[in-house]
Amino acid sequence: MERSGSAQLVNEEAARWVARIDSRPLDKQAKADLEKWLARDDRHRGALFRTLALLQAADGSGAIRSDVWEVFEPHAQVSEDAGPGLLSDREPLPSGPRMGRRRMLWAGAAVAATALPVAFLSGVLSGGSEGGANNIKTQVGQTAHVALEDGSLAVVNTASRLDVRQSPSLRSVRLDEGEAWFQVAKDATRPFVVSVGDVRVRAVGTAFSVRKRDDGADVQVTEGTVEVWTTAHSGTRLRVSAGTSTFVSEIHGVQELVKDPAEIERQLSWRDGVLQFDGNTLRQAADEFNRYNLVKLQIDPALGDERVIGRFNSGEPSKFAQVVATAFGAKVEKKKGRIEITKS
Amino acid sequence: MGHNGRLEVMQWVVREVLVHEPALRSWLRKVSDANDVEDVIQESYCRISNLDDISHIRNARAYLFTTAKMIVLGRVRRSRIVSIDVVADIESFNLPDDASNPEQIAIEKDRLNFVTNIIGNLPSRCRSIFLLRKMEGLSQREVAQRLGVPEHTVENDVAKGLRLIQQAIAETEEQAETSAERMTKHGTKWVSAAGQ
Repeated sequence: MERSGSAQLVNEEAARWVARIDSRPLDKQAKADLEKWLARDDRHRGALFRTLALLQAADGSGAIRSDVWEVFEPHAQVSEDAGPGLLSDREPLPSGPRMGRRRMLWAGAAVAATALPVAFLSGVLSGGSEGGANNIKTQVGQTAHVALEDGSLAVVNTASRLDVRQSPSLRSVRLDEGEAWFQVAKDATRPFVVSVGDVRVRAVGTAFSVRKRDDGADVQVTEGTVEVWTTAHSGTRLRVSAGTSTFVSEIHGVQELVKDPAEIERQLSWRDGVLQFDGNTLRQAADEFNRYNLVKLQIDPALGDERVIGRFNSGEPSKFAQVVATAFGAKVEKKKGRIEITKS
Repeated sequence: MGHNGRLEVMQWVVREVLVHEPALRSWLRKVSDANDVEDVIQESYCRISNLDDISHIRNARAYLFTTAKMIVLGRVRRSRIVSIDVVADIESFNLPDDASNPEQIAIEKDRLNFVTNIIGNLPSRCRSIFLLRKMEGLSQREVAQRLGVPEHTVENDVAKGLRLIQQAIAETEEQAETSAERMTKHGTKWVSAAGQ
């Protein structure tokens, strides 16, 4: 009841703000108050937007003044310091099997990852939309949730490029760069096919991720079943089921199937802005961080084979470096565009 | 982005999104705590308000439902005490396909008028204000002059009217779910759609 009460209170406040906005231009004080109120809770922003829409529906006042829109402009930065601000859109995502969030300890230090805001993509969407086509692009460090027009959901990882085309008979996605996880809306009449170079992955109502590699693609299935093949051997299709991952080589086709749902869950933690390591080498961990950041980690070869366990915020390589330094008695040096970790 | 883009998003909400809110509320009541419905609705609109561009969205209903679904799942996961049934319910959720049924589309269009219908049921001065604004495009100040009341009275009535509109929409789905008879009392247009 309390929650409901508070949501109702938010609606009431929103109604008062909209009436105030509608009455006359906002003076400096009113604007500051409104901005403060909006910044306090995402729900305030949602309630205000909805109530403005209701006013417009009620009295057809289409010419809404620009001072109203100024308060809606998201703050420029969408990076880690955006805090719980307007654009913050972090949500854990649906995945197949629900794994307990494993708490991992590393060198005795518990490392808790804090949530990073993720920009709700659409703004990054560009290119022509004729024939249901869309280009989706993310920058380094950016993760994006994109609701596709058929009701499917794509969660796009760092530095990725996709071309989405939806026609009456086919939903096709071309992954040109990077990685994406898809939760496919059921539609038996329109197969959902992801192509990566010559590799093809086909799903009907399922969830899976595809990551482009130099000579093929990694496929990880979190729900249902997908079919994979390469264009050279389109007659040989292999089924990959939930909890299973595989690498499909453009030349050699499917290499091997590995059934390890926990591993998939760990690898897909990027959807929560988190990198999880479970006995990976420092070299591998640094490579992972470097996918997400412009500031690159450089690991001393003498330390490269040390193994790490832990959960980290993918956007905080320096925090990671600090923990490495403590754990292995290494030295951290920040230089332009990179962080060097050396054995001391 | 410019203000025009934001205005465009709002007009899209007015045109294509609000109308699906009752159906969304019905679904939300099934998969989440009734007390959370309003929160999820507010969060959903928050995300929509952050859209820079809506040209890539072909199906407003699918978009609204997917957005809300993600919010519900996020809440379920954060709550840590997770009922397996709830997650299964949410995850197996597919878009209700009745939106493509022509009859349903007609009903939705009728519902689109529900804001107009609600105005008809507002207290009298409140109703006059909304009607003067709608029919004659008067500002709050002009309405105040016309009715011979102070401006702040008009502002208060607009706030009150908006509050009643918010509540009426939230109740729409309850009516749709309970009984046709109850709905007929309200005399609203979409009443005839009850059984659906």
